[in-house]
Order: sequence, then structure tokens, then C-alpha cells
Amino acid sequence: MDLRQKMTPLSDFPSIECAVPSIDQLKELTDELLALYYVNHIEQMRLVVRTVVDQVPKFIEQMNLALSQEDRTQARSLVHTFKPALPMVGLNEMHRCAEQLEVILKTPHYDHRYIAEQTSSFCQALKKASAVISEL
Amino acid sequence: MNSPHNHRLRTIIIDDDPITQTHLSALLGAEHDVEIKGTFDSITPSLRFVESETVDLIFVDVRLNGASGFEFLRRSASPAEVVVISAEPANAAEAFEYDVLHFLTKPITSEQFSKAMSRVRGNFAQRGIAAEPNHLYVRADHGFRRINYTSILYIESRRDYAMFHLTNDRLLIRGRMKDIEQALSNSPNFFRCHRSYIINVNVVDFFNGTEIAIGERSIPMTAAGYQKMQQLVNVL
Repeated sequence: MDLRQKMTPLSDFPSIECAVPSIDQLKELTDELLALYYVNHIEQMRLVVRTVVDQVPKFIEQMNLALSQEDRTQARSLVHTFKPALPMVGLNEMHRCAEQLEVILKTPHYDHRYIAEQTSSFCQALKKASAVISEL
Repeated sequence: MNSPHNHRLRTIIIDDDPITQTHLSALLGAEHDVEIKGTFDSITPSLRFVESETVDLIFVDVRLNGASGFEFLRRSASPAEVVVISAEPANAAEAFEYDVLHFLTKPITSEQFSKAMSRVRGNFAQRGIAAEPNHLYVRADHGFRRINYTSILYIESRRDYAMFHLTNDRLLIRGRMKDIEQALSNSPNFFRCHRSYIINVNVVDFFNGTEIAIGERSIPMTAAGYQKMQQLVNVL
């Protein structure tokens, strides 16, 4: 029997939908972020924001590579490593999506096409979010 | 300032994530009594560094380029205090099995970081370590080579020479055991357990009345050495 016949239809799988915050929304969060992660040092926050912005293209490239090799373990590991940076730059919603993507990547019965779609959706949102945080 | 030796805390960061490296470096850089001596993204260079340099404090991530920070803790002989960092709170239990001082969960918050640094400073203040030499120079390669005490496992007599067995190397130097013993007498961590051997007490895995095990090497011990060894180490 073809295993694919046993799989859940793609339409029944959860979809990752990440809302990208506006720069105004992020600026409102700045004081909170400074106190929470940077001992109120604005330069520290700027340094981390710059590093996150620098790392986003590398992250996306590595994710694409991992998925082209159908290496879900590597893809999941990349998400897991990158995930903690998101709340530090005010991307709490993206953090929630990263957690969702991690779950999808470790669920064995999801097929590759679905995983590629969800990863692509996450990466696109992350790219947009990166452009927004670079203005912080 | 409550750091050891009344100097700044010589600190290294071991984490393969550039964002955490940047964040932690920024947090530590703002501390008046911390000196960042190095940042590493894998185990081998960090092990090499702690074997050759004196380090007081190590921040190490659990996930390291496909390896584990716990592997670093297993292999390191450094007496430095360790703070483990991880995105997984579940790793805390294993971390404390290595007698680490503190555990930080990513993303590291200001509050978490402050607590960790308070604990680090409290620990060093409690130890009240007095300034003491931590290295010596030996004649080698037509010059003088520095050997950190933490890198010495044991020293073995070879007639007019002595073989220094280091964590990652061996070094044969001209010199009598009596003179070497004298040179190391400014550290409480070395003692002559046998006419032909001086050992680093901090790296002893096992000892009984006749021998000492350091790694896979067995070193003979005299009865007098056995008595002294029991005084030097913390015996329950």
C-alpha cells in the first residue's frame, strides 16, 4: 500500500501565519526590551539587532540547504538555535511561529512539500521582520 | 570588588550562536570586574585555550556545532567556575551534575544575568583566594616556555631530566626533581608522591596506599605520600 494514502491531506495541517510587527509597534516595545534583556543599555540592543539582521540571510540560506537535502534534523536544529534571538528584538509573534515550525519539523508524518511550504512562509516573514527591526 | 586575586574575572564564552555571543559579550563587557579573554564556537579550541591560559569564569552553551557543551565539561581540567547556557531548561539537571555554578536559559534576561553574576562574585568572595602564582617558565627550544599549573598532570623524573606530562602535550626539560619541587612549592596543588613523581592534586582520579591514577596512568605512591595526600584532598 502506498504510504501516502495513509497521510492526512495537506489542507488539514496547521499553517504557519506570522504577523510581522510595524516599526511603530516595535518602538513602543523598546523600553520594555531594554529593561528585559539589555540592562537598559541602548548600545547593547543595537548591537544585538545588527547581529540578528546579519544572521537572518545566513539562517535562511542554511534552512534552504537543509530542506533541499531533506534534512529535517538539521533544519530543526537551526530553528532551535535561532529562536531565542527573536524575543530579544521584539519579534514575539515570530518566536511563536518558530516554535510551531520546530514542532512541524519533528513530526515524522508530515510530508516534505508541506514542510517546505511552512518553512518558506516562516522565512519570508522573518525576512520582512528583519527589514523592520533594522530601523530600530 | 569581590573577584579573585583582586583582578578582573578572566572570562571566556563558548557558544556557536553569534547572536548569543554578541549579547553575552555586551552584558559581560558592561561589568567593571570582567575581562573577556576569548569567544569560541566549538570545543577543541576552547579546551586548548583553558589549558594554556588562566581562566576564572566560563560561559558554555549546551549545543555546540553538533557537539555538546557537556563534552567540554567532561574533558576540561580547568578549575574555572562554569555557567551553562541553553535554550532548553531541561538541560539544567544534567548541567548541575558537572558541579557548575549556575544555569542560564536563552534568551538571557537582565535579571537572570544579574543573578548569575551575583552568584559568581559571591562564590569567589567566599573562596577568598589569595593571589598566588599560576605558572612557571622552563627552558625549552633555546628560550623559556610558559607552563600554566592547570595544564600539568604530573612530572616524572628521567635521571637529570624531567618529563612534564601536560593535558595535551609532553615536555622533557633538564632539571632535578628537587629543584622542580622547590619551583612548584608556591602552589598548594603539587606534591611529590614518590621519589620520581610530582603530581597535580587537582587531576587525581583515584588513589590508595600504593598508587595514584591520573587518567589511564598509574603512578606509584609512598606511604608518606599517602598520608600527605589524604590531608591535601577533601576526603569524606
